Amino acid sequence: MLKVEGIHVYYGLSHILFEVSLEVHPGEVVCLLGRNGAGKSTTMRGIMGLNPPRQGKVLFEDQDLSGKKPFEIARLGLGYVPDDRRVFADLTVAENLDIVEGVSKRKPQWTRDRLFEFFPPLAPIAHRKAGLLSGGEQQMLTIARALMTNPKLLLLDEPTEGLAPLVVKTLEEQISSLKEAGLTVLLAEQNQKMALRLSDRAYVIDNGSIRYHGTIQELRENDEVRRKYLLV
Amino acid sequence: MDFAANLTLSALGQQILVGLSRTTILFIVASGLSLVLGVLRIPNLAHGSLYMIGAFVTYSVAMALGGGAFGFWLALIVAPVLVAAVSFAVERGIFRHLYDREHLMLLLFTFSLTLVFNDMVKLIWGADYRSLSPPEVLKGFVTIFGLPFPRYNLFLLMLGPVVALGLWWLTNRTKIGKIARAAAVDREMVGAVGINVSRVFSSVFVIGCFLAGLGGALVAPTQNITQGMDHAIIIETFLIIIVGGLGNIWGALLGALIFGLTDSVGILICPQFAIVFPYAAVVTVLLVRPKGLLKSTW
Amino acid sequence: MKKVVLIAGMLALICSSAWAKAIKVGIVDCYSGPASTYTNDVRDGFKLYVDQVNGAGGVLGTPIEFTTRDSKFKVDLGLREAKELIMREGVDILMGTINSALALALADLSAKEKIPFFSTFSKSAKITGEKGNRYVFGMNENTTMAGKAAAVGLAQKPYVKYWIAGDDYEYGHAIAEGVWDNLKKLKPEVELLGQSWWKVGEPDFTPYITAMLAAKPDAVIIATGGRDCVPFLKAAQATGFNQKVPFFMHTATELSTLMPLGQEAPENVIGTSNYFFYYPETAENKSFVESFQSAYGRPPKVGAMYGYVTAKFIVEGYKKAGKVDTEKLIDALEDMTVDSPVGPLTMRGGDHQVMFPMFMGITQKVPEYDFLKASDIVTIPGDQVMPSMDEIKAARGQ
Repeated sequence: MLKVEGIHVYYGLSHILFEVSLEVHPGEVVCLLGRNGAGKSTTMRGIMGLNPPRQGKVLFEDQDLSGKKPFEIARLGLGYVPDDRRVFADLTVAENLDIVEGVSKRKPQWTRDRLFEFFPPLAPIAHRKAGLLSGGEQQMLTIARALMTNPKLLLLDEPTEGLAPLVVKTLEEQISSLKEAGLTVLLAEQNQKMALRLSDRAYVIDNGSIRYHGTIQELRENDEVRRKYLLV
Repeated sequence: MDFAANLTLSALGQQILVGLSRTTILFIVASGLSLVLGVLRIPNLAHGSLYMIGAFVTYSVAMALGGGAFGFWLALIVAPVLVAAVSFAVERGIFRHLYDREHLMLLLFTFSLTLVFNDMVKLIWGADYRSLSPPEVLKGFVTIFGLPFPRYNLFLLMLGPVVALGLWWLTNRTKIGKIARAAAVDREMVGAVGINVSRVFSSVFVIGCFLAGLGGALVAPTQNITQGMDHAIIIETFLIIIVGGLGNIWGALLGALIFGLTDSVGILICPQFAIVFPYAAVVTVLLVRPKGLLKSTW
Repeated sequence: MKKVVLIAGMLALICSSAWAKAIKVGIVDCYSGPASTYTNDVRDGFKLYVDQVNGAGGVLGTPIEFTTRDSKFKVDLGLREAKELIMREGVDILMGTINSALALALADLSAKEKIPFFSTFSKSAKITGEKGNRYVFGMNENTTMAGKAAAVGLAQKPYVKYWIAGDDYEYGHAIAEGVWDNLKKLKPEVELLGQSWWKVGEPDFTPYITAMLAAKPDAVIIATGGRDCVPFLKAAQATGFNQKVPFFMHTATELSTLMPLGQEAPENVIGTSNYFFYYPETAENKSFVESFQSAYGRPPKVGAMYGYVTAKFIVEGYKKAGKVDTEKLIDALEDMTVDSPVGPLTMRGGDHQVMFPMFMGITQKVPEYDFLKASDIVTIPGDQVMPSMDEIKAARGQ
């Protein structure tokens, strides 16, 4: 579904990503692992068109995303959940979801009600300003907001960052349910354990380059890679 | 300094009402600029020019229809719509490509627009000033607190809350308003959830400019319609939104209230130096709260 | 053949020398923007008389020519134009301007170049007062004269408690002082309740109007300059100010002020003015109005009268002098009297100021015109409005 082919991404003059390639097939959960600053978020932003690659290509369902604006990419079926959550703080929970309604032309799988069912803690706080939510609540909201666009592929950037263990556990269950619901996911994470439990395949990125790629089983058995690129 | 011996309660009440009626126009214009500045991050110096164009167009439309009441009311609709149309053309043609530029560049560009608009007005209407009378029903005065109060100002006074309510409804209850508020703080994320930010910006810009034109249309019967109108209003407007908090519409209301009331009450209390009062008030507020009274979106 | 050439040559010589002997007047004034309505009147009034004189053979057999230069209301530009007129065009006489600052600069220039300067429309009292000199002539009323005349008129009215309001610049304050100082002298019991001053070009007078009314004065003196007279009257009408309290404004009864407002002008405003086309109904005024109307298709306003009177003084001055000589012209003009549409006018010798009578009246709607007229007109004779020669001498430091 998603093919990233040798992209180079820059922040101004800084060359951040070097020849990054990866693939995500329909129905998979693929994780992108790496330390802090390895280039995970940049990869996500590059795919989403927020920092468009200067070289290389991103293909989504065989469509070249070069030159497309982020909103166009979102409408094609990519949902973006940024690592700093970025809820619309001044709007309420319900409003955060409502303004996204109708953006995609696809048959609505995710409605506000369904999302409140899926993320029960959001329902009672539907009229609270998003800026006043706890970290975990905001994370749920950001995912829910991305789901409102009825994406085919979800880009989840470090969803567990800064969250309490109990919240992380709930999140893991929710992502698992999403997978069961048929959603394809590219998950960037520092938290290896959760990522490995959820994913089918893994890419390891370090200093802006993909260092390793394999199935979860393969990665679990490869102590060397894990020690070299993933241990803090 | 000559303090007035006529500081009776009724005189004060009257001046407050006059000040509030002026607040209406200041608020309408300032809220438009606040929208544009807050959401699009464009410090639009040409906002004052659009206000001036609104006034001139109102004059021409009203005069073309015989200068009577019908002409005026129609002009009140036509002028802001025309200004909105002009701004739409400018936005689509030019501004659209400049959203990611630095503020200084945008500021300079809008400044060049003020020059263009000023010359355009001179070309179309000439250098003389124009004068428009309010419609019959709003001419003359009513007696409030035992003193004469111009009918037209009463009209403005009543219009103020209506506009404020309308703007509140627009920003809090409509989808476009909510998107605009989100885009004011995080335009990137709004794009990432599939919303065409450029189109949102366009709409907000047009609404902001419509308000400038509306302000000009409403002010037309109260004063001389001249070339210098754009300069006078843009300074006041920027001061108001700085005092109120950049990008905050309710800040604009607060700023407009401060400006309008200190001006008119100052004229009553110390008429020889009345010119100074609103600016003194602005300086005082900024000394105490340099970022403005209410939360800014910047 | 030779004879023809000789005669042709002599004719050419005579013609060119006759042309070279035309009296040249250079008018420097502001012909752009709103001021042009006034300055065009001055020029047209001047031209009317000059055309009449030239048609009758000119002055002492020489025609009068004039040329205009636009100062665009800028002092440096106007000064440059004037210098050019003197150096290159060799004008005998300089005339102008509605801009007081430029008029004062031209007054200085005229003294240096020894070219007579006839000041038209500028109302600064300094022109024939402290900055006056042998070469400067005041061809319209100034703030002192207007103030004194207004005081004479107002002293006869029953008002005691006054409020003063106006444009916060030199002219506004000068007019207000002129009126008030003289009024206090003539009627010591008058009381000043307070004053308000707004910026020139103030767009909204409403809060000032309401504040003034709150003070409950018997009458108000409004000291507005050219730009703000019409807008203030409009605001007075819109707010009903004129119905609540009587107020005085210099030039409120002038056609230049009342015509743009049409039927929207406020009634019962007390105004002073130097000229009406409908008053006095003397033969001189009637014929002036008729010739002006047929030449230009509009009734003459006060500026036209100034221009006409200036031309008349120049012509009569040269006639009395007997030759086209500057110093003799100046001597002839001193204390000279000419007939004018407002009656006989004398040029006071001591300060070279024409002693214009002032007419005080009240604005009234009349069926025969679509603008308001001045009614209940009281004439204040020229000699009663002039500052004393002692005051002039003191101002000039003599």
